[in-house]
Amino acid sequence: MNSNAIKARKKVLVILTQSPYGNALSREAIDYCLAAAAFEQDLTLLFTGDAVLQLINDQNPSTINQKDLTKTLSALPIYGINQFYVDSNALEQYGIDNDFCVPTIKVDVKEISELLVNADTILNF
Amino acid sequence: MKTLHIVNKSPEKPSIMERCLNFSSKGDSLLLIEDAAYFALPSTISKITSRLDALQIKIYALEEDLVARGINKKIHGSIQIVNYEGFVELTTTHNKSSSWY
Amino acid sequence: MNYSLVILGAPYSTQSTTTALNFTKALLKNGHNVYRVFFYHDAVHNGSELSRPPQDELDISTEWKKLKNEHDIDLVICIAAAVKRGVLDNNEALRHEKKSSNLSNSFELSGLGQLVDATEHSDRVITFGP
Repeated sequence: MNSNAIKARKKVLVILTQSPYGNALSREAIDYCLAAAAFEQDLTLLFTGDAVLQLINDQNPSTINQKDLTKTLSALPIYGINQFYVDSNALEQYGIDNDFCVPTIKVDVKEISELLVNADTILNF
Repeated sequence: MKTLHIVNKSPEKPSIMERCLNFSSKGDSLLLIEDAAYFALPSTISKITSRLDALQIKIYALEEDLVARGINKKIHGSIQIVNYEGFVELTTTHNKSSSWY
Repeated sequence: MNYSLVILGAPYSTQSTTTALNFTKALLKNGHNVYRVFFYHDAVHNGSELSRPPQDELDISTEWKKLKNEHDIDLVICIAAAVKRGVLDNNEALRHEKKSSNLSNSFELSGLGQLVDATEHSDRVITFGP
């Protein structure tokens, strides 16, 4: 049997660290995730640091002439990305823990280390 | 599945190194490049050496960035200096890398 | 080993590109293969033919050109991120009714699928943050 044919897809861990509107990297990261999802990649998303702020509901960035990032984020489950890992420490730091635009799985430091260990490739945005 | 953690921001932004160390696993390595080279100074690295030791994380700093900043002779003894070829070598001996910035 | 690089920082503003350039040279010197260099975020400015640093500074565009000519490495710039920031090839200039294009011929504009493909086909993917 051709070994390439049965080779599993690479597990890609995308680590997001940027706030939604202060830096275009946040949107560009989600754009990458959409593309990867469309190509049926094995993708895991981890929101840590300021990136947890991307998940807040009721954002209305038209006031600052930007597009709503949560609309793009909410499209990811349509492409089969259902696992949104969120750093519980970062949530605690900002005092937010519910009312998010996508379903989330809260993870602690140890669980996050595991995500890194289990990934084949890590992309940092 | 060891990870090479690459940090490029100065100690002025401590949350970046904090995140890197929090998410590191035993036997991972840390490479200091660009402005993170300043972490190699004894007074800054000493703040995190106990955590690095506990995780048995080896610390490397990129020679070109140290020399550029005039600190290659001032760094802490626990840090190994690597040039770009050493940087490449580190990416081959670790399964993957994570860049913290 | 097969490597791909993701560069995110703007040339001349951050060290991101020059670090990646030096890393690429070291890779090639050590017999590794560069599958693709993907320019994203502010690194798309690497593609501008019009950048011209003072003579006593490294001409980053020329460095990429040399690597392209000598090793035929695949230098891909994210099309959406580039057009937004004013880095256009002839096709995009026509499509958007611009009078001129500025993409250096060492590079090509393409979609994020190229980054997806690079992660799938490389043994290592190294990100050079801004």
